[in-house]
Amino acid sequence: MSARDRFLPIVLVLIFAAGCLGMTFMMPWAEFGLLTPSIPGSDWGKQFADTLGISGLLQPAIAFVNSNFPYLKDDVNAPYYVYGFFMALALISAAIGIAVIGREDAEEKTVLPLK
Amino acid sequence: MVETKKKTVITLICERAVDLDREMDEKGILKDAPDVTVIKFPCSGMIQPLMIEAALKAGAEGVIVCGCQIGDCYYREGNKMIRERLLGERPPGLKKTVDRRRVVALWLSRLQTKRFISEAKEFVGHLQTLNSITEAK
Amino acid sequence: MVMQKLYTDPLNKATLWLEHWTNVIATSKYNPFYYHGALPQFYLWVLFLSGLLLFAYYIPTIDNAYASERLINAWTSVDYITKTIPFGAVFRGLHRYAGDAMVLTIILHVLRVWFTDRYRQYRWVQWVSGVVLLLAVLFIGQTGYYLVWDERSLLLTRMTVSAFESLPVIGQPLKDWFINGKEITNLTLSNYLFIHIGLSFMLLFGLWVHYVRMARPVLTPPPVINYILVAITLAVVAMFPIQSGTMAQLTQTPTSFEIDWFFLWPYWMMTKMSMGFFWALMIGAVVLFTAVPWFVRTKPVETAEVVLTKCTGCSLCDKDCPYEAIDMVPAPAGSRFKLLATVKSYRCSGCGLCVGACAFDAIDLPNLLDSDVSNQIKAAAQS
Repeated sequence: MSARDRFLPIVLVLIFAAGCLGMTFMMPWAEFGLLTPSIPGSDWGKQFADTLGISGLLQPAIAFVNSNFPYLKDDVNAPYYVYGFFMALALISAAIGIAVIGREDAEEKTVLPLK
Repeated sequence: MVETKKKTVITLICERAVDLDREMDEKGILKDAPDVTVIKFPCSGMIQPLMIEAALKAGAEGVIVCGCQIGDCYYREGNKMIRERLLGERPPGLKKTVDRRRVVALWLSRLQTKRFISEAKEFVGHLQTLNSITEAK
Repeated sequence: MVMQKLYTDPLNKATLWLEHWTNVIATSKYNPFYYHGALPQFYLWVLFLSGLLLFAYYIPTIDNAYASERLINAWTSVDYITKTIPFGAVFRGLHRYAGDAMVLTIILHVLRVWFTDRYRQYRWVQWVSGVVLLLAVLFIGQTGYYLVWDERSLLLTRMTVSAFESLPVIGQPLKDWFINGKEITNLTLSNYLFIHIGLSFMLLFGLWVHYVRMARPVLTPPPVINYILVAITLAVVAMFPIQSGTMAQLTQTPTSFEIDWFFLWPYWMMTKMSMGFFWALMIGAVVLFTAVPWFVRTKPVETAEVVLTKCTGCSLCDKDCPYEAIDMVPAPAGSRFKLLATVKSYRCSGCGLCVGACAFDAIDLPNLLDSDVSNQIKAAAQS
């Protein structure tokens, strides 16, 4: 295996791992209702985000939710649905990450080990 | 230098795996790789390790075992079984005396004809280098 | 020969092509087509788990006291699950859409075994039990729609009652069984709940029949595929949240409803034709569908035969047979060995896996003898 062949999967795995972690962190924020500002979320969740100083980081996610889930505006379950959606994204990233590593086990050619 | 008799590579293949019907003549010899003779089975699971031993004993240069893609056996488990037998994970396995460098297994779906031909040619080349090494000794 | 015919079949070619390109992208290890039977099986577990949560809060009654502020019945309990329980709505959605997904994956499973010719002869038990399982899944899914007890449930109940009543002789008892009495009462919903859950567990028995002729059936897809199956369902739950209907009122007569095309298509058909024609069509379709394995006439399988003088009773062929077609029986008196392999010809596929498993050349396919193969190999090696 050349260095380049080794390098590419590692980069891919790192990207997917980062995506997966990111999505996983999105899930609790979604549950607190932070990603759906039209719905009153839990106060301490908001405070927590403010204390950590990461409220700004959530802006793109809020924009994403607001533009893609407009029909959830008046739904009490919006945080749960959005949580579920981000969990789905996290699962898909995880699946792709695992598959990138695991696909090397799939074999089309078996060379017998020497005894 | 003694002129050696031309030897063949025998392919034991599942009739549902890679499609070689248009690639070989009525004797089973591949047009693109005349060293390779194809023998068909209803399923790669029917191939006995004994048959591989017999082929090498009878003077074949090497043996290619070919089944369908792992996971896609028409008879459910045939290719997995012969794969495990070749690797010694399921009885009956190959005898210890069998030269494992002269056996290779391919798991190719019906549409992977080109892949098979190129793998077969590569294997023939591999066997030639093996022979030159043994002759040098 | 059957083989040649099979590979000129455009449907089989299309399937092979689709699977080939899936292999190129995902490799054979993660090719969902190679786990086609395990996909609905996985959704069954999803349904059991999400259903367990719903079952914990569901109340199977139709009480409808207008004066009562705190009305407790099936509809309000579903409403409670949806609006009050954390993630209740997500689990409800998961339960609904996993059901749809199960039907979808069953259709995929049926089409694959059909197009790749894996349904006939020694596999007829799997096909017939599969038809029964599919019908059971459809009926269970429909009872799920009765359970929420909104206006659609009431309409579906009334349509089912009139469909049963139109049947001669068995119609009336069937109707009485279905609504658990002469008219719709609290007992009706208990019966629906029993059918929905009881029949779901009966699926496990059906699956046992489905699997009994296969050694080592593939029951679970690899985790990567499971993740994606759950993810797709969750995404659909968020993208198409379930809307609760209006609570059913026995005094009212709802006339239209939204159709779930996976489960409720028979009710759509009922609205388009007379009941007699509907039943004739349904029963006819089921009979035809069940008989599919016998449409293609081919010569019978040439089953494996044990060479009695060579068999040592080592039972390797018994272990490796993918169709449980080999039994080890006590060897006849005077034999040097304890056991002897015997082939149950009605289960045998003629695949020859047992030949590959035998180190003593003691089992043979009559149309391709061991000795013929050996001669072929020798001839090829020495030419």
